[in-house]
Amino acid sequence: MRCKYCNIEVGCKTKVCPLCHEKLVDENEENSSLSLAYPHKTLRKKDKRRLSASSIYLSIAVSIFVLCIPINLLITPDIYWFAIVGIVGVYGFVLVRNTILSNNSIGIKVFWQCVWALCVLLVVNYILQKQIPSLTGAWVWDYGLPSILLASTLVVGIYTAIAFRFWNDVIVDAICIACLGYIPIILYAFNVVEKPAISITCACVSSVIIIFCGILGRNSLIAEFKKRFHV
Amino acid sequence: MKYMAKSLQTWSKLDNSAKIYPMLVNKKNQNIFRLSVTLKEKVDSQILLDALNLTMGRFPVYKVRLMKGAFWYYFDDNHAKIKVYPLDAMSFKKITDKTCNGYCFRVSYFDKQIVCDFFHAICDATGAAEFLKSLVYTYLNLAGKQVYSDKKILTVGSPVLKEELEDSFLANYKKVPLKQLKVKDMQGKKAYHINGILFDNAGNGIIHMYADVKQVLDICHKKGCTMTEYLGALFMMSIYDSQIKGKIDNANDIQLFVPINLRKIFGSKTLRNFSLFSRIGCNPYKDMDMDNLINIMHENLKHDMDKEVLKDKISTTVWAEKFFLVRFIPLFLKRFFFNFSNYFFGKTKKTATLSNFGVLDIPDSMKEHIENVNFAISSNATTPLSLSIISCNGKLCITFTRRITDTEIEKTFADYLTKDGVDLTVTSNFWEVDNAL
Repeated sequence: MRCKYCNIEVGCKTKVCPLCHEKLVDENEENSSLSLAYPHKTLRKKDKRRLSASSIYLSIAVSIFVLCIPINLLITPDIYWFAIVGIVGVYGFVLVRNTILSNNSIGIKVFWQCVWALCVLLVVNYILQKQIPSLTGAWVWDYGLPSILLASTLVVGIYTAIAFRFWNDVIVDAICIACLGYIPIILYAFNVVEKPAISITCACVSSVIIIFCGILGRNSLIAEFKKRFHV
Repeated sequence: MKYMAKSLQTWSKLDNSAKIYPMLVNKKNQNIFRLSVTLKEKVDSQILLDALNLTMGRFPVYKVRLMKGAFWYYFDDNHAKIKVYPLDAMSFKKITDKTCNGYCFRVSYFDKQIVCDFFHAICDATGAAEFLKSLVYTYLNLAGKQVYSDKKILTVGSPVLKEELEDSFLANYKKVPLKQLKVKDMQGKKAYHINGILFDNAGNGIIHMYADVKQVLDICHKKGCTMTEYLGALFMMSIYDSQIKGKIDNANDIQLFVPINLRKIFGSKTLRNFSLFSRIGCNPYKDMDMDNLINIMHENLKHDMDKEVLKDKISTTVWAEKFFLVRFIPLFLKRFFFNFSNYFFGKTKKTATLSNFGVLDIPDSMKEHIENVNFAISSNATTPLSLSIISCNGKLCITFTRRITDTEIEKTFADYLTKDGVDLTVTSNFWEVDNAL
């Protein structure tokens, strides 16, 4: 089948010339013997727009937040607790999108959970302090941050122990998160933390994890550091 | 011969030129190229999958997943299941961790075609062609065809050579004083940009032009040039005729990027990247004469394919990679700087890419089962047209890939070829029209 305008042979099943897009006149059995060069775009299955988990969550969270504002202002106009609902909602969104649905490694997921959980605590503390001036922010550093890091260290430690078959993939994450566990005790040294019980526990758990990973997975650890930090 | 111990292959650094590609990936663009083979019979997806699984064992260099390190990307072994996919109508669909199980390439099938899309970070077209040849050879064997490798195929079970995995840029790098680096030579000046209405969806328009190699070579012999020089000159002429002539008074130079395969020049057997670009420019108001353009192509390619010039270029690019400040910049900052400089400086110096693969050498016993071979490179919004050329079994395939709806340049190019006496058969994916069927 030829295009008389371009003086070329058309080598695939079509009604129009690939170059000038003029209609090809010779539409007989010659054309039917040709096959498509590519699947045509009109034959392409349209991507189904699925309602994703994060969008479902987002719509529910936003609805609850919007609903909370008038309820808050009507019932307890002195305490703006709707802001706490808002920040918890944001944290939940991060939890769904960047942790539950994400393909990131355990270390990155836990790290961002720590960061966002700490943000929630700081915002809650800020709002409460506005409402209750006698409240100090010490509880965030004495109990909040050490508890978050203790929980994170334990989660990563337990995961590393369970997933020993993927030791290479998780061991650097475990060490990095465990190192974060020393932050509360460092803050205690700088008098930011006043009640050190949980901070000390957190540092001890971190030490145990680092020692175990260092002894049992020394070779994996060295290999992983070499590849992840190669220059 | 040095054979590779299996235990050595656990992770690997990206080669010198591959280091740039992952940094330039964004939502719309990824440097992908496609090699495909059209067989004479319909492709059986199950046999293709079996062939692919067998072939992967011979190519550990491609059995990898791209990972982010603190300072550079790296390849880690990938043990995930590999799949074959029905060919998507959207060509050059992004190769992602999710869609391809972490692999940096995708094998698809459609009717009689076996299509391999490769992310450039993993290899260049020469490496990919070895893989495709091996895959098709294994496929034909499994399909019960009598085919023989004739020492032209890296067959399943043959030893994996250490040279296949080497970074040939590093192997051919010689430390030179700072003053001798060819940084300025590699820069170039502002280029003309092809105008047109971009596709409102993603994907590329693809047009294949098939011709008899002998017909084209006869013309080249008459003109006393190579096929790359002739087709390159035609390409520049077509861009000028369709976009500049009588329309624009102050267009920048038309600048083509022509990849040069360095394997033959440096005796490398690597299956990774080992090519550099030659930048060939012409003034659209002074040089637009066919013989003159052929001469410009010839002079530039001759200069840029000189071994000493290439050695200097290799030294310059490797020096940039080894420079301590570059090495110790965290990856996220490198990505930012690369994208920033590429956006403002890199793409403004290129009109289009012209890539001539050359001849795909396959055993005679395979030729009778193969209808044709295609090679295509992806284009993007700032360089919306690319031309790629491959020949196999006496059949030349010229492929235009574009991100714009207009096919005027391709039409002009075909006009020139047919006027020179070349019989063309043209096919397309008709990405620009809805009423093609």
